[in-house]
Amino acid sequence: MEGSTVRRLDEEAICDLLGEDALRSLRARNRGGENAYKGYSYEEVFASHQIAQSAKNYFEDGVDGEAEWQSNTFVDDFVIRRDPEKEFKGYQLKNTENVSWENGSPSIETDFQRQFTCSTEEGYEDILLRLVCSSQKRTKELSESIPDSIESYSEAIHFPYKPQFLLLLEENDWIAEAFGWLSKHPAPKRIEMSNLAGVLIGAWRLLSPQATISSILDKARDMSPTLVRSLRSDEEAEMQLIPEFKELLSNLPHFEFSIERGFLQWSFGSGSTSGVLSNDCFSDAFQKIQMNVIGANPTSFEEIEGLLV
Amino acid sequence: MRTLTPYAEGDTARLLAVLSDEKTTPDTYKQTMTALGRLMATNVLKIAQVERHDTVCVVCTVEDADFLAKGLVDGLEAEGVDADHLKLICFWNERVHSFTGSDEKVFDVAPIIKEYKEDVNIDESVLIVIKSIISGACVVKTNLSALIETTLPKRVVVAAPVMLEGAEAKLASEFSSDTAQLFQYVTFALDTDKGDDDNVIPGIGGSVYERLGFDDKNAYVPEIVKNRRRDALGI
Repeated sequence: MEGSTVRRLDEEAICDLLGEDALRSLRARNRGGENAYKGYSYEEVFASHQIAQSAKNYFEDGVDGEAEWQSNTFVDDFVIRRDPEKEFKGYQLKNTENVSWENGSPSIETDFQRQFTCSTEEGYEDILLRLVCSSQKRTKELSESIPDSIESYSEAIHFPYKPQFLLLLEENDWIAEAFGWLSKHPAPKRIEMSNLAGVLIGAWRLLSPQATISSILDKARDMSPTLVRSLRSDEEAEMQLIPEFKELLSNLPHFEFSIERGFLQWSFGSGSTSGVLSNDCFSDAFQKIQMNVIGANPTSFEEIEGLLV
Repeated sequence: MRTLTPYAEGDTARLLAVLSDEKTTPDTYKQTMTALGRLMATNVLKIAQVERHDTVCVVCTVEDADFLAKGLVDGLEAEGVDADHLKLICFWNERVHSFTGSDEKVFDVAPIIKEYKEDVNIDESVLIVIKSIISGACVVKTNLSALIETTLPKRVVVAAPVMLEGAEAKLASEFSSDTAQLFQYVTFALDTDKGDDDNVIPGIGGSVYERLGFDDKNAYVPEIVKNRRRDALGI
């Protein structure tokens, strides 16, 4: 398979590969796009965390992932495909204690076997299937009882459930970390991470069952430009600053500014008043702010305070 | 349906009716908010158990700063709270929400884009979070959470002339029980209904931004902020 590209199997190909029973089972479970989400579900919170983590991978190696939910796969609560890397990660979520590898018809074990067979046939070489459980105790038991038939590509992992997002972040630094990285704030507070998660969930709700990570981030920025960091470098962002604008700000008494994560941050009077602009340095809105500040030709912060939003 | 609370004494009911009257001009609306803020001060102090050395920190949003919050600050001073122990924090929030075709809310957040914060030790303070109306509690949750992430204050009084029934429980449910037990609430009226535009009925007569006459609230710099900052920094 080395050197070839991955492809998607259609229903006919899945039937040829795994038989009619498997196809019937797949059709019965695929409901993508039909069921509207209500509230922030366990699946959505998990998805938003995966999207935030995948954004970091995209930033680091430039390979865009494709997220899926209930989209023609046997392991279908959340899927990330990174085709150029031949990487497939599938997640089955269980927000209950009552879960085992063998229960169900078909069982999770069978679904994982079928998914591995399909993904291998599709050309994926790095395949990881995970059973995600909200119960820590049950996750440990599941980890210790992975059937031999799927052990080489399967894991059980814990992801907690908490309806209150702030408390989820407070109790789980590792979850907060992914949202923190994607925030426009270098040291975001939990509420800022919670807001970011909210907008990612909103974007995923509108784009699911299938969307690239970059398109989810774009959609999130469309809905609110003020939460998601830029994935371009701060050096590039600095280059968007018009020299005259930079000089005017630099000469304002008691005023400081810097570029972080693509956004202009400022503070006045030893931090008594501070802010981060709503739009990043690459936006038209930021260019407009620069022109307005230059036009105002300010000598004090108060002359342009209303412009810095 | 509206229910007045025991805090709604004297002129309060008439003032609330001025807010909900759509014919009220922006100037009268502002004066009414300021008057309600002053009335709020008396009630807040009744329940806040402020001790002599406590700092009282008023927490508001930009649209309320010059009116409701100004009335509260003036009222607290008139009630004897020492100016040195009276602090102000003002937030500029961006309101972001999105709806699906079926009007189901996809998300509802209120990120802070700017803040004015006087020198205050939160752990030695009684926070008074004042807002013209509390409905979904999204803005109050955001601003409060930003302040108390690492340090808990002595008490938190959440005050609004009008609240939607259930807003207290909704706000409390967003925090741990240890934190939520610090919250006390003061309101003059509890309303039960919301319109298609998501505004509480009768509430405060629609969108506070429109009623106060704001074109762009986040470009606005409240006079109370300018004056207090000038006094505090001497610049």
